[in-house]
Amino acid sequence: MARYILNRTIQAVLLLLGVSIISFVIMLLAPGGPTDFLIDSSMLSGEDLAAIRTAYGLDRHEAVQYWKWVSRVVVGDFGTSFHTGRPVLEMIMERLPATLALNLIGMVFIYLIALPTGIISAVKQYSVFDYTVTLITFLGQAMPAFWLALLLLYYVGLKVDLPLSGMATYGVEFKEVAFSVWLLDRVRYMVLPLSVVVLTGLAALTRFMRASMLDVIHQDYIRTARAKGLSELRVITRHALRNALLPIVTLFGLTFSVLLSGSVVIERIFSWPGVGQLAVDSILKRDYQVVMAFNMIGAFMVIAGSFLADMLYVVVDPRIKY
Amino acid sequence: MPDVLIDVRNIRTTFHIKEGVVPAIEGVSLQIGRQETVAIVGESGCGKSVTALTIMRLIQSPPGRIEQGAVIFEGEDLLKASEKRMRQIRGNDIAMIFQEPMTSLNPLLTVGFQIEESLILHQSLSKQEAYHKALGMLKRVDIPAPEQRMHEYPHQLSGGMRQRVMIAMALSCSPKLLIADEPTTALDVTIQAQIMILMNSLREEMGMAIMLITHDLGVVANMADRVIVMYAGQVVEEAPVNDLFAHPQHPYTQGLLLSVPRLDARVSKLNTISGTVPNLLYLPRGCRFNPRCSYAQERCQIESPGLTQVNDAHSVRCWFPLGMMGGKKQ
Ligand SMILES: Nc1ncnc2c1ncn2[C@@H]1O[C@H](COP(=O)(O)OP(=O)(O)OP(=O)(O)O)[C@@H](O)[C@H]1O
Ligand SMILES: [Mg+2]
Repeated sequence: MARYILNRTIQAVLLLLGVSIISFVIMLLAPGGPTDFLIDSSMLSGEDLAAIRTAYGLDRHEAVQYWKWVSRVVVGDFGTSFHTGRPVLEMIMERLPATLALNLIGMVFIYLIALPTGIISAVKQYSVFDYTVTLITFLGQAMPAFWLALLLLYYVGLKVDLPLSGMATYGVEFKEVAFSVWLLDRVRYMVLPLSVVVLTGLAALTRFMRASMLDVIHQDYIRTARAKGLSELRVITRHALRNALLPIVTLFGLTFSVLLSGSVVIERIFSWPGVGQLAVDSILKRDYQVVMAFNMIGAFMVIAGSFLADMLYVVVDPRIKY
Repeated sequence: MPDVLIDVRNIRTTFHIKEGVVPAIEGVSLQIGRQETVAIVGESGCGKSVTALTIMRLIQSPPGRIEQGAVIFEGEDLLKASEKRMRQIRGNDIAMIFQEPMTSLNPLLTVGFQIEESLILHQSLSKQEAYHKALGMLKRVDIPAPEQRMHEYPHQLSGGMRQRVMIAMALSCSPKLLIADEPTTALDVTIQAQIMILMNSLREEMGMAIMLITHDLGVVANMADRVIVMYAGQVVEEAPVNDLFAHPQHPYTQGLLLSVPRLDARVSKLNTISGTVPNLLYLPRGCRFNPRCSYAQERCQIESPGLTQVNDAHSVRCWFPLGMMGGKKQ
């Protein structure tokens, strides 16, 4: 086990290194640089721009720039933003709660709805319920998030008097108003973006759960369980369910990173002040330090997610030992 | 047969698939007496498993459907019984073991749990009592270190061991009928023999009947009292084992017997039945075997034969049975 964890750690480090090099190269290949997107860059003389470039080390050889970046990151310093001058980590951290809240709550809803729906749909294959679920999930998967978001804004948001953008009413802060007032305010803002997160995430997981359960209930050991005289309920809950949930563990590990990266599209449409928006803005402004930090956090989350899934497997599947 | 345990009458089971309705078994009738071992033989796809699953009412539906017939078990028609009643019978009065020991046990549950489960369900034993009974069963099927095995998972056992666990599980409630669907096909030869010897001794000890589905005519000769030969969803011949081996009446049975390699064979070439099993969706007119039969006459291509008695214990579905020369005619 210790050996396994050591191996995984080495792999993770190599992977992060690879991701960082690739992201760095891609950014350098993108046309323009940070200085092209300063608000008043047209008013600056060539000398001023050169001075700025020197100050930030942008005139150095690319390999040197990368090396300096790496040596700072290993001690936990992700640098400062070209545009705001603030530490990158601080900027990301202040955006994180919004994204985390939206996606964590979204994920809880998605799993709570998708798993039972998928399971029942499989157990009652070819029933009206199953056909309905199949149809809806098909539509759900085919519908782009932005389209659903716009539909909800128009047909629900405008009619029901829900806030259409942002995350909170100005001045309604946790410490300053009654808890119920604060909660209601946050819920009202979250309803629409959360609906989009849940509705678009639901379809894939439901279909996956249904397929997994269908696969399991056609296995030989399920026939064995029936041949023992067990009730159908017990066959499903005691013999099929755990087996069908195994692949979901992997899926959970893979989608874990979404918790932090969030959905850029949804955040943009609803002006949700999360990290997704910050990421897009930073890419557009060639704010290298912020973009690199994002990529690294994203890569780390993916690695952490798959590690988490592997560890969960040890708990749920007796066949797996490391 | 003095005391009939199960009387299967004229059952027909179909599968409704996209291409059409597959009549997997058609008018199958058979009887098994108490403590009798009846072997069911026939090529792959002839409906052996479907017959077994129909008796247990475990046909997947959809696409399967049991369309007609009766399964009289100790005077009760199982095809008319409620699902609740069937659950009392399954695993308790009629138990079943399957071909694939590798996949027939639940990979996430311990061996002990899977045996105890039946006992707790059918015999209302406490967890403690069930544990001891299950342990006893593991000992009876000669599993080494049974205490340890109780806590292990199927993947920790070899194929032969898993089949022993399946047998322990099936026999834990002392069923009156054990349906064994190719219990040794997936195992290697020495293990096959051990499992067969084990099943036979347990049968004598517990006094149950066995419906043994197999491809292995050697096993049939050693274990069975009677043999039922199936072809394309029908019973084509039925006879006591010695009678069948000595005087097969159906050309298909003769072909099956001749296709077995023999050490004392004077013929050097292995005989096989020419042609392939017909697609059940496009059955030939007349006798289902006629396109492959070297004795086929005009009548065989037009009219389909019924089962006729050769003597009180031997019946055959053929217009021109081979007669007492059957075994040797070539
Ligand atoms: N789930 C199913 N869907 C469609 N057809 C089926 C299904 N199960 C069985 N059949 C049909 O029933 C026929 C008989 O199948 P069965 O499993 O009883 O054969 P078998 O004699 O047990 O063969 P084997 O020796 O390979 O186990 C097959 O030819 C197949 O066409
Ligand atoms: Mg079979």
